[in-house]
Formats: sequence, structure tokens, C-alpha cells
Amino acid sequence: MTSHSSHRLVATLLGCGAAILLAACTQSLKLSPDDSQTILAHQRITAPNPGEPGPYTVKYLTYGSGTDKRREAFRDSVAFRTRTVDASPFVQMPPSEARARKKTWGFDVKHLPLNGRVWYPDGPGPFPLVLIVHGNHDPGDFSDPGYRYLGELLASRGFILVSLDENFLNGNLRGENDGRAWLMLEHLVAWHAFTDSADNPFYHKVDWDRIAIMGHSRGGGAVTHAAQFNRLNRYPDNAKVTFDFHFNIRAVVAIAPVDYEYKPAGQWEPMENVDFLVMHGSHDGDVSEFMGVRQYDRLRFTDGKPHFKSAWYVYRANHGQWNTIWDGLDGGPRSANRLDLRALLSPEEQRQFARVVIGGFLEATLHDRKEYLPMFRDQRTIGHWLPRTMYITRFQESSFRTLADYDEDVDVTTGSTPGVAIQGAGLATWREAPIPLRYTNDDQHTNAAWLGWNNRVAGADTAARAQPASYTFTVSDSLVSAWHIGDTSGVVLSLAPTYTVPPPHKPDSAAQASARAAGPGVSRSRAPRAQDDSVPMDLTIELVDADGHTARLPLSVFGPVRRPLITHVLRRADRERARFQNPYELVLQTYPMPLAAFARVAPSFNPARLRVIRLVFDRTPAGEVILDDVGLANPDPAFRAPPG
Amino acid sequence: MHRCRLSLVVALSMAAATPLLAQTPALAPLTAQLPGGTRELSMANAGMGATNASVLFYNPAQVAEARGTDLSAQRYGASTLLTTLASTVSLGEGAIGIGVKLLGFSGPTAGLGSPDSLGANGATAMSGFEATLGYARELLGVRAGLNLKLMDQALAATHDRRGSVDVGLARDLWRGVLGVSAQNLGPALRYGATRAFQPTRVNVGYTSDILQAGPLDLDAATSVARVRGGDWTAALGGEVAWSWLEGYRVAARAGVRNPAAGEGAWTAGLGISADRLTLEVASDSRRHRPAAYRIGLTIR
Repeated sequence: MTSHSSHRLVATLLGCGAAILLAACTQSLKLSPDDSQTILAHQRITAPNPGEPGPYTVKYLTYGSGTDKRREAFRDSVAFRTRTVDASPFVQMPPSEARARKKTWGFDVKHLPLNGRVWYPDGPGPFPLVLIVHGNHDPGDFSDPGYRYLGELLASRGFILVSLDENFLNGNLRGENDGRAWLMLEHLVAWHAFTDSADNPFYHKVDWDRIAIMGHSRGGGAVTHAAQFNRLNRYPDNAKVTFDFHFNIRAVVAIAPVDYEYKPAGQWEPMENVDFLVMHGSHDGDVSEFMGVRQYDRLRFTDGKPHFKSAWYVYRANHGQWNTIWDGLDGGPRSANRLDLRALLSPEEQRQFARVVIGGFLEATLHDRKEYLPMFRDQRTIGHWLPRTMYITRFQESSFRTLADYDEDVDVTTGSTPGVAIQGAGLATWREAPIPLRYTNDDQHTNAAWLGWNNRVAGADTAARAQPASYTFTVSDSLVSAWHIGDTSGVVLSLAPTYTVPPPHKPDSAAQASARAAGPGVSRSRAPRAQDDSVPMDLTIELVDADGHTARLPLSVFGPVRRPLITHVLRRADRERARFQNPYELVLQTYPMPLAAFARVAPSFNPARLRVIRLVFDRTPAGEVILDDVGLANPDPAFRAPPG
Repeated sequence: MHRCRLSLVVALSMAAATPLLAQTPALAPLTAQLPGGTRELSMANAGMGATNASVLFYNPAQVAEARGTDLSAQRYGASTLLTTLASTVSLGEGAIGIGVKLLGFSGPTAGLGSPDSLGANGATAMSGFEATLGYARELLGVRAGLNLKLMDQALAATHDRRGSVDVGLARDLWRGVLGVSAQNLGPALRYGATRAFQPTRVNVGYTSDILQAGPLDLDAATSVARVRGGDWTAALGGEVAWSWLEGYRVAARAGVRNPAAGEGAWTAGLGISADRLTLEVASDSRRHRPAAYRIGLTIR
């Protein structure tokens, strides 16, 4: 090859290479406009910040098998030794995998250790006991120390926090989450023995009426299984395996949980009668959809006791930063070439959120500190505690009675309870359909009403408006009476706007004739410009009593009304489009609306004679919302925020 | 321990390359004596455990692991061009591969042509053609492969065409693939009174899995081979690759070999990948002649 042709070849190749490199551009950072300065401008709760350390001195120890060949913390430095347990009914794997794991860890699934790290208050107790379990991660990058920040906080506030070692279940196992859950309950069994043993440092130090379990990722799925196994006498997938736990687990916390790993008896398990907190980051690069909202939805309160559930969708939070070991790279050490990390909250911001919300939740549920309850009903009550980002919150407490959850039948004109009728007027969209999750072909396992409107009238007159569309629930006298609806009651609904803008109304024939009479010179063909997404959406909630007295308030009085938060997890836009249905998660915001607030603006309105709840789409010319879990509630007054 | 074993394999490979004195018989066709893939060439032509489609030309057993299509062209001078195509696709529990090599050259006025004569322009127009159909699958933990080939070489007005067979085995070993193959098993070609043996070749090689070292991926391959009537040769190649964005990757490769006739000791190359496409270039040093360059395109 001549020198000239060689140079030409090299130049050509360099040109091709440069073209390839230029094509490899990361998509630009796209985020929704941040309204947190407004939404979180106020602090209504005056109690101490539950994310700040409490009065107790924190002590720390580890317990475990004492023989763990890979974990010094559970071998040489254990404060006391524990037995091993046989998890073989719950954790299955091919023989080659079992051999490899035994070689790696020094034990098999028939002899799993009960290893834990304990942060506890220096005091006589008894203290509530809180267990936290990590999820799946590189088995060699031990996950259990990553909750030290929670351990130190909670211990200082009078809780015993145990971070469980389940690293030996990490790696490439599938369907093992029942094993993770069962192991968690076996730790509680072991703890019962600790507290009964006079030579144990925890002798009589646990308040067995106040137990909470927490889990992260697969651990977040496992806690819901553990809550169920705790109530059962037999293992659902093999009834020959008996259970005898029955601990007083009051509270369950799921951090960025999975909700697919294991289904007891092949069913999406219902969870019952616990207080529940679930949190998930919008920019989760591992579990990149809010699966925990399904756990939230399945939880039922059936025992007549006071319970509540709370869900937090945290904009710009990821999967790993709630664990200091996992931290920022949700897809492993090399995932910076895949994940767009620019949007993320700082690790400290994300962990401060966890401190505040988990701290407040456990104070409210295990220490009966009711002054923290309002933060779960309305995020705006703790604006000064929360890191500045956007949150979407769901909330329900056990007095909630459902008017419509859209899951009971296919009749769009009936509610979920006898005595409830539904009407729509002027709607461009009115249907009941599942709410999708981000991953293609996945959804929230619940139906909702999809309501679209466009109050504009197509035609030359761009200012022409039709009667605002509305969606109305009519409730019977007997229902209002039976549910004891009155001044302290509230209407509750969960709603999310979408980005859909239906086309405008077609003008009626009279209007068309009038337009024709107006003569030429006016274009009739151009549709109004689609609305600007940056204009906040709002609508009016209109309540009518049996005497026809009407009270109206904007929905935005009761919480932020936002279009879905734009989320791009991956650096490459094409991969993002291939993996996800939408560049956002459709998360509904719950709006608890006290009837007293309506009575204040319309004194003649009588809450005890409520007949009509109407959503009037008069504050935004066109749009679409998803509506679910509409109901009435008589909540504990403690959930109300102190006056601002 | 694994590193020690790997080092031993490499050392033995290099030691086995001690030249042997041998009477070189006439060999044909020439296409069967030339490199098959761009990536392999840039790593000293050591490709026994590779997973790109061109592995068809090195070890038919690895067709079971290979997917995609490779195209390449290598110029040895103004009048000599080698082009190759290889493609593999899964079929049932195994995979099939097809491959074509085309060679056009003008050689010396006498003789069949040899690798060291490529680029030496001559008055005699020559051409070579080789078509390969391979199949491989795993049996009892070992991958086994078979190539059926049709090889043709034309010298001026005469040409001959013969069938040929390659066989190969491969299995995962330690953190890599150990492969062995025997190629060009078939009858001699005849050009008048001249009898040209197929260049029967025995190869043994080891290719490591990708090792992660910080942000870099490291890959290595080694092989020893002997061609009918020739010396043992050895090759050792390596690759360093970096991905700054999922799907995009640049790789630098180099190889050193105990050269056969006409070959130089060094090879080198670059690869740039964008999702399913990889553009590759390799430099093939040659003894007493300018280096030959090869470009390749891989579609996965």
C-alpha cells in the first residue's frame, strides 16, 4: 500500500470514528420545573425534627454465628452468638449454584446464620424494636452496614435498630424473597430469646408491643411478605412448613421496594392492619418504577383499629443513596456510562429525607407521637424539614370509606359502594382503565377514572368557551348518615394530571350557522394552540348539600397539583424510550379535604347533609386527570396540621 | 492459581514456537493461509476462543457462541485484495455459520503463490475463493464444530477446486475459553503436474474472558499453531477497551507472534463500537514488505 493511500485510508477511518463518537451524545438533562420553594415554604409542625438526633447515647454491637469466614463483624467481634436456621424450604437453587455458594460463604441454605448489627439507646428500656433488611446487591459488597445513619438516628431517639445480614442471599437468585422475609422473622424469634436471657445485653429491653420491620429494594418486598407470614400458621407454598411467629408488628417500611419477586401461593398478597410507609425515588436506576404503590394499594385496614399508610415519591432520588454502601451507582460500579446521574439529589439530601420521614413515621407509630401524624397527610406541614425537591404523596387512614375506587365493576356510572352514582358532563374523555407504571406492559394493578376535558370551542372564535366539564358523585342520605359524616369529616381523593390535551368541543350547529353568517375573512380551520405545560393545572372541588347549598374551593388549596414529573434515568434517549412507556411515572397525589374548610367559605353549606361532590374543570381550559380512591373519612383530629 | 496456569499456557505457547527446519511443500489455496478476521488479526491472529463471526475461520466450535456478521477487506499492495464475510446465527440447540473469502492478486510468473509473496506484483493474475458452511453445538459440556468448505484457486488459465473440512472443540476453562481445531483437511489441489497440498493446520488457543480493571475491559488471547510442512508458530494478543456511554466502546489491540513465512512480529488495531456496529482496523506487519492494513465491520 502506498503512503498516499495509507493516509487516505487512515483519514477515512478517523472520519468514520469521529462520526460514531459524535453520535454518542448523552441526552440533555430534562427535569420538571421545581415548585418546592412554594410548596415547601412553610413549617406547620412545631415538634422537634424527627430527622435530628434525640437524647439517648447510642451504643452499638453485632451478633451472629461467630463462625462467619467472610465477615469479621460476625465472627470475631460478635457480642453474643446465634444459632443457624434452615431456609431450604424457601430458597432454592441449582446444585452447582449451591456448591459455589457454600464454597464462597462456608455454609449452605440449611445453615444460614442470624447476623445483625445493632444500634441501641443507652438506657433501661424497654424500647421499640426495628429491623431493617437490605436488598439484592453485589454479595461481596456487604450491604448491612449501609443503614448506620438510620441506626444512629433511631437509637438516639429511643429505638433499637437491627440491620440484618442477608448478603448470602444476594447475587443471581430469583424468587427468594420469601426466604428473606422468613429470615427476618427468625431474627425476631432470636431477639425474643435475647430479651429473655438474663446474661444478654438486651434482657428485658425490648417493648414487644412495638415492633417495626423495614426493607430496601428486595428487602422492601420482603417486609410485606414478613408481615403476612407473621399472621399465618403455615407457609402458603408448602403447608407442611409451619409458622408460629405472631409478633406485634405494628409498622412496615418499604424503601424503593420490588413487588414481583415472590407471590405467596401465586397471588398478589394483601397486607392487613399495619401502619405502612413506602418511599421511592423518581430517578431509581435499578427498580425504575414505583412498584411500592401496589403494596400501598393492597394494604387493607379491617380490624377497626387506627392505622394509616403513606407513600412518598421523591423527585430526583435514586435507588442506592438510601444505603451508604450502595450509594449513587444503581447499576453497579460501571453504570455511570448508562445512568444519568446529573439529576440526583445529593446523597446527604436523600438520606436526610429518609431520616425525617422514617423518623417521623416510627415516632408516630411506635412512640405514639401523634404530633408527627400531619406530615403524612400533607407534606406542606414539614416544608422546613424536607430537602428541597418535589414530592408526590399518597395517604389513607383507617376511617377512610370508599365511594369509588373503580375496581369493582365496569359500570362507569356507579361507585364502589351502594348509594353512590357518578355522572360526567362535557367530558372529552371518560373511561375507567388501569394506571400504568413506567416499565412497558406493567401497571399499578388498580383502575382509575381517566377524565379529559377541553372547554374551548373549535372554530374561529378562540375565546369561545363551553360550559366547564364536570364529574359528579352523588351520595345517598343513608350513606352519609351511616358513615357519620359531619363537620369533622373530609372528602379524600387521589388524582394526577396527565400531559394529554383532548381536542376542543365541536361547536353546536347554531354556533356554526352564526360563524357562517359572519362571512369570510376569519380562518375557521386553525385549532387553538395546545396549552403551555408550564401553566399549573387546577380544578374546582364543589360540594353541595341536600338543601342545595354549594361550597367551592380549588383543589390546589389541599395540595400540589402537578403534571407528571419528567424523569430520564438513562443517559441515552433511545434506550430510555425502549425501556419505558412514558418519560414520567403517573403517581397520584392524595388530597384530604376537610368539610370544615368548605363550610368556612360557604357558611350555609351543611357538611352533615352532603349530597354531591363535583370536580369542575374550570380552572384549566383543557387537560386530563386520573382519579382514584375517592371517599369520605372521619380522621383522628391529630392528623390535622396545627394552625399556620 | 489460575493466573499461574494462564502464564504457563502463554509460556508454553511461545516456547513451542521454536522454528523447526522443514521442507515446505507446495500449499494451496492461498485463502486458507490468510487471516480471517480484523479483530483476530490485530491480536496476532489469535482467535481460537473469539465470539465474533470470524471465529468460523479459526475454530468452528466457537460458532456455537458467536453471533453477528463480520465483513473485512485487507490490502497487501496495489494489486492484492482479500475480502471476507462471516455470519453466524443460532439454529436449534446449536448455531450455523457461513463464510466466504475472496482473494484477487497478481503473483509471480511461477509458483502457486504464498503468503510472503502477497504484494509482490507479478504478471500472472491469480484468484482464490473459499466458501464455508459450519455448524456447532454443545455436547457434554464441550462445544464441537464442523466446517464444510469448498476451496478454489485459479492460476492464470488453470484452476482447481476441492472440498475440505475443519473440526474444532472448545470449552470454558478457568476464566476463558480453551479451543483446539484442525483445519483444511482435504485432498490436494492439482495444477497440471503440480500437486498442492491443502494447508492443513492444527491450532490450540486460549482466550480469556473480559476482565474489568477500573473503567477498562481487558481481554487476551493466545494460540500455537502448525501448518503442514511448516514450523510451530505462537501468538499472543491483548485488547484494552473503554466504554464511556452504554453501547459505545473504543478498543485498542496489539499482538506479538513468532512469525510464519512472510509475517512480521507485530500486529495492532483499533475498534470503535456503536451499539450493534463495530468499525475495526488492523495493521499486519510483514517481513521485508510494508505492513498490510485491514478494515472490518461487525454487525451484531
